[in-house]
Amino acid sequence: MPDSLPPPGWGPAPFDERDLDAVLAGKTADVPVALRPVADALAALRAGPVAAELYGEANAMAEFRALGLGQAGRPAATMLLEALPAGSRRRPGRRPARHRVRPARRHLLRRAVLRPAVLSAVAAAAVIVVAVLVTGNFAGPFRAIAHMASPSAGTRSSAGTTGHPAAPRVETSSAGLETTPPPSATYSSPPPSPSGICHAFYADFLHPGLSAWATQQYLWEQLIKQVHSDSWGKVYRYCAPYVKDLFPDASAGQNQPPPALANPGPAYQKNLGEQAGGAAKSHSGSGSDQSSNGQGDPPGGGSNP
Amino acid sequence: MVGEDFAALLAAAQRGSEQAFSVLWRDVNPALLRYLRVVASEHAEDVAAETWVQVVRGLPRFTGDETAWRAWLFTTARRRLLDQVRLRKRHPSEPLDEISPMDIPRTADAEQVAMDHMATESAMALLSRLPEQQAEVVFLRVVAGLDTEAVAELLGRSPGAVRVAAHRGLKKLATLLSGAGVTL
Repeated sequence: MPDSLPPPGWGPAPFDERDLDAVLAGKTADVPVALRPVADALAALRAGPVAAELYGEANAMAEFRALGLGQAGRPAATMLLEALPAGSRRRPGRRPARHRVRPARRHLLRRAVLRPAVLSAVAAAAVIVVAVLVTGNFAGPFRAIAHMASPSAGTRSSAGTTGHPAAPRVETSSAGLETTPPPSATYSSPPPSPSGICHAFYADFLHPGLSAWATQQYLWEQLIKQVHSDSWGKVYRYCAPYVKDLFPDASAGQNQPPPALANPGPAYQKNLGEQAGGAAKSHSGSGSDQSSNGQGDPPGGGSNP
Repeated sequence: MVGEDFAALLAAAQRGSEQAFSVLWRDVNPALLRYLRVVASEHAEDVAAETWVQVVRGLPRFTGDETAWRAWLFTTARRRLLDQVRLRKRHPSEPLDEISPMDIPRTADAEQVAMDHMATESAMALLSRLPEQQAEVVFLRVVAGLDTEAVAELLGRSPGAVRVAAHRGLKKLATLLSGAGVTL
């Protein structure tokens, strides 16, 4: 009989690998005594959850709902999609409901843009623009728009509207804005007769608005040329034989113009005088014999030549 | 472990049943949190939350049995944990004050719950004294309920290495328990 105890490592092992596997698998029925504390510790690890370990359920459930998965047991907040036919299969990488809303919105927007009415309007506008670009000319109402848009038209219009109330107004309609020869243009046609010019010029006083402002200005220039004076009295006396039918009372009064005609107003005179003065300079090259300051004769000056 | 009802629960959860998803969550989340507390005690709650976010997103596409489900979930948790560790290394931050045990809501059987909690906490503290790889293997085998092959695949090691690590961990536990006279 030995005198001393054997070392601790001697003798059979208290457990083997099968016992360890059994402990890992949770089979604690035939566990050796040496492994009993280990089995108890592992059982404590498998214990039921405590309250602190269940706090995150609300967050996980919120994520579950946010991703469109949580729908059972609640009223449906989104449109229910109809079941797919048996033959068709949804692609595995595609999410079912949430991502189908956005393409639908885009599709609706695209459909709204491509409505037939919108398309026809766009096509009509394109045709008009192309026609204008091809012809290089404006017609109808577009001419008025062009006149309003162009600075020269605005100047002309303001010149007319700032004139005397008795002055012939500028036609702003499409008929009044017809193409008239510009004041500085050279005319190759034969000169019109004095009777026609006088009649046309003074007829506008009886019926304002019959002719455009440019036409009236052109007639005034012609009269100045023929009378060699921009005096209203001289011009009227020159035209008196031709406009007797227009002013029967004046003709009876020894070639004196009617009061309204003899004094048409300084603004009107100035306006016409400025235009005519510039035009006379451009036509004759010298305005020495004419009053180019636009003032004309003083009203009722009675300056008979 | 859910057991035989797992397939039905998973299908119901994939159809949108919140009750089914709740059962699955309550079954796995405690084990997940315990595993994360051992391997990364500071970030366990955050990593668990991120894990569930990713699991919920992938839930409609998941196919498999309960072992595969747990393996997928713990694999996701481990990857999120590695991401979290890398992020914290790049952007170190001070953790907020932890919730005091006195603030935890009490239940009717608070004493028993406290005793169980203490036993669980003691066991987790004991397991934390193991080498990291051994502790992780034992946790994945015991708490997550994964077999050797699943743990090996999750950790990227061979099944033999996993088995050896688990055995060594248990032996170390036995030594610790016998030497310290710890009773659970």
